[in-house]
Amino acid sequence: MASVRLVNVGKRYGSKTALDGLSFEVRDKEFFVIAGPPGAGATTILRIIAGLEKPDTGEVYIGDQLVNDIEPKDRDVAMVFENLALYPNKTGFGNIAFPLRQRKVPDDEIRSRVQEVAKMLKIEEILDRLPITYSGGELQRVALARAMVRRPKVYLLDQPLANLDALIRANMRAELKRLVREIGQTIIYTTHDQIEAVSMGDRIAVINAGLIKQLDSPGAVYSKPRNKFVARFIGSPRMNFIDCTYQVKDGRGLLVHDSFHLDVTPLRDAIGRIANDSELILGIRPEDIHAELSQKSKEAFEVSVYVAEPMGSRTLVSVLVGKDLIRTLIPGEIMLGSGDKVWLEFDSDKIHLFDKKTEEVIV
Amino acid sequence: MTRVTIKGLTKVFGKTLAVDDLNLEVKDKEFVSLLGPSGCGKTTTLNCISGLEQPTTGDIYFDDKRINDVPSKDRAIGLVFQSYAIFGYMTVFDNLAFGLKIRNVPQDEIKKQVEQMADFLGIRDLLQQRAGRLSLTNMQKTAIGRTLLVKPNVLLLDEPLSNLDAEARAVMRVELKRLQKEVEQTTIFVTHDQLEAMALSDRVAVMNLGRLQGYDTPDGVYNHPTNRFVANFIGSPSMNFIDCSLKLDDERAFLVHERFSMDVTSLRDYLNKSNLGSELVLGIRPEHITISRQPTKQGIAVTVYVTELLGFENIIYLQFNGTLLRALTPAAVSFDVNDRVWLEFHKEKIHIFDRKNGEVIV
Repeated sequence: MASVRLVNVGKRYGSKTALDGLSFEVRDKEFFVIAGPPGAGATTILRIIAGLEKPDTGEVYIGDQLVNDIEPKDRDVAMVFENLALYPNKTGFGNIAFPLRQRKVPDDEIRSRVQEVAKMLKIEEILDRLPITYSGGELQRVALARAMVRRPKVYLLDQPLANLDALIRANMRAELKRLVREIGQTIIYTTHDQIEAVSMGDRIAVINAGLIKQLDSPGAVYSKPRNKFVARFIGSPRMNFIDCTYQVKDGRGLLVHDSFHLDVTPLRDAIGRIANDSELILGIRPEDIHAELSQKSKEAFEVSVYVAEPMGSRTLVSVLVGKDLIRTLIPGEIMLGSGDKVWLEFDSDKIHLFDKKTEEVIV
Repeated sequence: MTRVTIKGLTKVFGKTLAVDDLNLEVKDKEFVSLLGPSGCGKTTTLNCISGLEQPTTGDIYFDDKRINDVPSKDRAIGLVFQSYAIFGYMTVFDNLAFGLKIRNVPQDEIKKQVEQMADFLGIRDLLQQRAGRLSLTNMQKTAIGRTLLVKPNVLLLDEPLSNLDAEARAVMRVELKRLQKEVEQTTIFVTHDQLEAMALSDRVAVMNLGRLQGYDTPDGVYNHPTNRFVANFIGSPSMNFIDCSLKLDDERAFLVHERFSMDVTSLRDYLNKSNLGSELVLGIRPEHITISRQPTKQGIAVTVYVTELLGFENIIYLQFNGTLLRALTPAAVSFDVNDRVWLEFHKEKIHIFDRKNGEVIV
């Protein structure tokens, strides 16, 4: 069993709170992603699990064992750092073998274990070469091999794809996800990149300022964000946020904006406790706004195109709704230019409402 | 305003051919991107236009005037780089007014023009702030505004958005595109980011290894790539390529692969050329592959390698004869690793390339 459990873990650096009493459990063999903006605390969490930092408060468990006072080398975890940190003067083989040599594993066994992981990672051909000759992807795999060769129960991957260029990153994402599945161990992975988070993880902890803002499946953080922070962090192009007033008229619930009224009567039960005339934030993703060249329903309202940006199969269209610039994604076949008129309609099943003060989700 | 014509531009550094016989015309008021991976020659081309580099051979014209021998400072170009050359200790107003002041434009005229530009840029409220305290986005707006105010012949932008984070970049893209259309300024924009080039430009010049690979509208480079390089470089996730061979008989034409045979008789006229060998490459974008859980008539049985949620879509990686194909599905239609599925290509969306030289056939 290699679950990892943090109970009320806090960490301060001087007057700065890095982690603010975090509790969560990573399940055995789970691919668990910790995602947040730079400085949110993701790397600190990994370093605490690895034992490279001591928490000020709280407990860290690996399996059923409390590890607060256990040395990093005895924790059965392996960490892969963002900068990969290979020894430049050692060959690929030398790098991968290094942790085993330190543990005085016999030479024969070292050779067979290095070969075994090299085969799995498809790097058998490059073991004799020095790291300076490696491509980004090869560096990546050698660093991972060095972690794997120890057969740890838990892998801690600290932004392993951050230094790769976009095209290689996209390929490595898929390869790494597949590989992790084959390794079949508990993985805790940090990233600033929301696409990596939703595309790779079994579950994601979205963190900000040392606090977990949501812990959920990728689908849920995307389609059911619990607060505006998560809604804003996850998804590209980003969710639109529009300030509205909630009004109840003749038994109907309306979101009122200078440029449109949106009937949200079906959501009244969920909204129920909100007072009339409350200020809310309407959140809607660009793909959930439909744009038509003519009025197709009475809910649709007319706007003019501010800028249209072709992106291949789709076009990202920015429109002015009152003073708000709203983004909508439309099929690439529809050609629009600045100043063109379009009719927008919000997919009312896909809207999110946030409290203006707390920014917590209401619906 | 100015039309820019590049004729037979070649630039050699020592033994390196940086730009190789480039021919390109940028129309008056047009927004053109030079797009390609590092080392493709895009920045060297820009530097030849600005006069920072001299062409080895070839000519550059602003309208009908050849400018090869015009010193850089007399070309009336506006240059904005990735790092923002603004004066941090000066106010935004003074930064914007800088070029006009050296040209001895009258005070009240400067005020009028600066305020108008600040309105365009949405930084009117910041005019009295020190530029060094601005956000990166507003610094870059200030740099672009200052350059535009002196009404250059051509605005040259070298990766101006690459220091911004993703959201700021998205915002600046929109503002830059809007601004360029408002002031109708001929603009040449250098980038390695295909999405940025597509989003901003009237036309995109795709370059690789010093050569122009394709020059077309965003719709053109995406839907009608001229060769395999353009097809691969434009679009994300990128196009799938499958080696095939051509079988022609008297009436019909087929693309033949170990796993399938596709009737392309309707394209026979393009394919029936004597100079064309039988070695072809089929290109298909991920959104033009359909996946079913049940066998279909034309379906090819494959195994799911891995899947990735991208928000409202999934990329499904499929194991196909030792390579991986990428297909897109809506977020709700997902698959598990090792699922057996059947894929179909949207036949009307295929591209066919010559395997020898990568040139497009259809």
